[in-house]
Amino acid sequence: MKRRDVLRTLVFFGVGSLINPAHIWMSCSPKVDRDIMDEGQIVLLGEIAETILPRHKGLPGAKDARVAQFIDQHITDCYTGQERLDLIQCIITIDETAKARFKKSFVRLGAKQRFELLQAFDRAAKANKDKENIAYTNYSKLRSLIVFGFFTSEPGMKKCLRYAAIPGKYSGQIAYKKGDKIWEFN
Amino acid sequence: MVNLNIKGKKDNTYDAIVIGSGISGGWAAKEFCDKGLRTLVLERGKNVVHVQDYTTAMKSPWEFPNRGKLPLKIKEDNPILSRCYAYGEDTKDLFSDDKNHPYLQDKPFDWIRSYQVGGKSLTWARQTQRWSTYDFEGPLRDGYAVDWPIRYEDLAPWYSYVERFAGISGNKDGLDTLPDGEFLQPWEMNVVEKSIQQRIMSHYKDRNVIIGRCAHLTKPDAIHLQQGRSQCMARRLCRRGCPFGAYFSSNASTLPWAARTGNLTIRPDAVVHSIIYDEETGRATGVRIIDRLTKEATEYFAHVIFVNASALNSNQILLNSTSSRFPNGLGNDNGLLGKYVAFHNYLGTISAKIDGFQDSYYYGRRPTSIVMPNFRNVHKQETDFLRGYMVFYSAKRGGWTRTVEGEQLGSDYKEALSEPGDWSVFMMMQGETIPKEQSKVHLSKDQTDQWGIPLLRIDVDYDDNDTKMRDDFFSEGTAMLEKAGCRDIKTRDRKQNPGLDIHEMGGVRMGKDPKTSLLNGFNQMHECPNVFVTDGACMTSTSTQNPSLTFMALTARAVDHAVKEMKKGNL
Repeated sequence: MKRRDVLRTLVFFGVGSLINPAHIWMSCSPKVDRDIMDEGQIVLLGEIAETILPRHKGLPGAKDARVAQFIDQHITDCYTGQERLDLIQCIITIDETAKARFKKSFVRLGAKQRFELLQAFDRAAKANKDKENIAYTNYSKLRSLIVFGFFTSEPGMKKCLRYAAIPGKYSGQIAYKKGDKIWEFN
Repeated sequence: MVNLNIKGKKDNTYDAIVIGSGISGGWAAKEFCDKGLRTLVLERGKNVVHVQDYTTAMKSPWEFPNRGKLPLKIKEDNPILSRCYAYGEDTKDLFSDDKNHPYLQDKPFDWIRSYQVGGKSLTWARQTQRWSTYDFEGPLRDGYAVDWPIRYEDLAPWYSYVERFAGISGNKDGLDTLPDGEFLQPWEMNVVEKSIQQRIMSHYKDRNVIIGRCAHLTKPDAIHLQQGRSQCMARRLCRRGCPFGAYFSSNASTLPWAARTGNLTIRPDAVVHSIIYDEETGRATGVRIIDRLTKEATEYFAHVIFVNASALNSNQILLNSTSSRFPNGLGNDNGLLGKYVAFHNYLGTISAKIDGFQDSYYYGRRPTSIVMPNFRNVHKQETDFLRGYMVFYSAKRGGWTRTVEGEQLGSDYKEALSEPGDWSVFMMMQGETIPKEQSKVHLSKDQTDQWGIPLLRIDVDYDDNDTKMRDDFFSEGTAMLEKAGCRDIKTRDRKQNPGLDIHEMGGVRMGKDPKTSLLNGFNQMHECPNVFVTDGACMTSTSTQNPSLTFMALTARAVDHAVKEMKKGNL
C-alpha cells in the first residue's frame, strides 16, 4: 500500500479523523506473506461482505450465502498468486484502517462504523483512476467478487433475484413496475 | 511406427464413408442412410450420447465450483481456447484442449476445435440465414476468388429441405438480401429492439431490421417430434447440450435418425490420417485412421467418401492424402488446395445506452438477436471496400453486475441490484472477408501430432479491406444508434485474431474450372470424383451469413447427386 493512498483515506474520513498513515503502512504490508486466507481472514471477509450485501427485510445476506467461503475456494482455483495477495492485502487494509480509525478490529465494529468505514473505501475507489493504487483498485475488485459470489449462490439467486431454471417460453414485452425483481442472468 | 491392422477388408467395407460427425457430417450420414446405403461415420473425438452425456445441462450456477468461471490452470493450459466466448466451466468438456491438439500459426489464428461425436453442432451459435442471389454472384461481379458454380436457385430447394427437418424459427420478411425459408414461429423482439427497428427502418429506406432466424424449435412440427425433440424452453444454456433437443445438433437430430435406419455405424476415436487413392481406378478406395487412444492404424473402404471434418481439418486430411498421382494432396493438380481460406470479420462492436422504457421488461432467455442483413454494396460497388457486413444487435436492462447510483454498499445497494437497471444496446458486425491465395493452410514438413499426422500451419490474416469495413461499421452503426435515440455510444475493436469467429471457410473451393478450383458444383472433387467435400472447406466465398445452414443444404444436395451417380454407375 502506498503512502499517498493512505493519505487519501484520511481525506475521505474528513477533518478530525485520527488515522496514523504510518501505522497502517507499517502494520498491513508485512502481514501479506501468504496467498491463502486463514480462518480469521475468512471471518473478516464474511463481515465485509455482509456490510456490502446485508441480510435485509427477511432476505438472505452475504453470510447466509457463505460468500467468504466461496471466495476462499474460488480464488484458490481461479486467481494467480499475486491476485490472491492483492485481495488479502485489501481485506487486511480494511481491518487495519478500522483499528486506526476506531481502535477496534473490523469484526468488532458496530454496523454504523462498518458502513462508515467501507463507505470511505467505496468513495475512494470510485474517485480513484490510478491503476497503481492497489488498495482502492482492489477494493472495487473485491466488491465485484462479493457481488458475484452472492448473486450466483442459491439463496442469493433464488431469494433476491427472479430465478427460472426453465422459463418455458420467451416473451419480448412484459409489464414492469418498480420493485419487481431482476432476472438472474446478466 | 504404428502397427497396421487390416482386418478382413470385407468387414471394413461400407457403401459410404463420412469423415466427421458435425453439422455437415451428420447430414451426410442421415441422407445416405435414408437412401439405404450402409454408412460409416468416422469421428476423431469421443462419443457423446444425446442427453446422457450433457452432464452440466441441468445444473444451476451454484452447482459449479466456480459458478461458471474457468480455473486458472485450465486457462493457462488453453490460452487459445480460453479466448472463445463459449468456453467455460460449464462447457469445457465439449471443446478440445490446446495442449493435445497443437497447430502452427504462421500468423496469429485462433483455431477452436470440438472433437467429439456431434462436433461443433453441440456448441454452435445456431443462427441460420440463407444466402441470397447477391451473395453467390459476389465473386464474379467484384472480381475476387472465382465464380461460384451454383446460384441461389440451385440451393433454394435444399435450403427448404434441411430447414423443415432441422427446425428453423423465423419471420417471413420478404427480403431479397436474406430470402425467407421454411420457418417455425419467430422469436419476439423486446420493446427497445422494436423501437430501434422502427426508427432505423423509417430513416434508412434501404436497410432492414428483422428478428434473427435460428435453429430452435419454437413450435415443433411432427417431423421434429418424430426425432424425439421438443420445444425450446428459452433457457439459453444451449452450448452445454440441450436435454430437450430443442436446437438442432447432429446428436439430437441427424445421427439418431440415421441410426434408426439400421444403416449407420459410428466409429468414434478415429483420427483420419488420409484418404487412400487407387492409381488404377483413379478413385479413392477408403480412409486410413489412427485410433485416438491405442494409436493403432486401421483402413476402411467405401465407394464414396464425404469429407466433413470441419473446414481446416478437411484441408489437412486432403493435404496429407498423397500418392504418386497426387504428390501434393488429393485432387491437388492446380496447387490451390489449402489456399483461399477466409473467415468472418467480427472486429467491430458498439455499445450504447437508451433512456426510457422503464415500464417494460422481458420474460425468459431468447436464443437469437436482431439482425440487419447486409446493406453495403448490395446492388453495386458503393464504398472503398469490397462486400459488406451483417449487423446484429440486442437490447437488455442492466443486470446485477452494474454500478448503481450512490454508494455501492449496504441494503439500498443490495435492493437496487435486485431490480433491473436502465436499457442498453449491444451491436456487432459479421463481415465478409476476401479469400486470397496467400491466405492458406499447409502441412508442417517436420512436426507431427501424437497420431503421426503433420501439424497444420495456418497463414491467414486481416487486410485493409477488413479494417475499412470495420470503420464503416463504426460510423454507420453509430449513426443508426443516434437516429434510434441512443446515447453514450461507444465503438470498440475486439482486436481478436482471425479464427475466433469460428467461421473459417475455404481451401477446397468449389468452382466451374478444374484449373482454378478443387470441387465442382456438386462438391465433387474434379480430379477424384468419388470424394466430396461439403463442410466449410468447400466455400468459394464467405458472404455475411452464419454459414452452417448453407453447409447443411450443400451436403444434402451433394448426397442426392452422389447417390444418383452411383445408380447410374458413374461412381
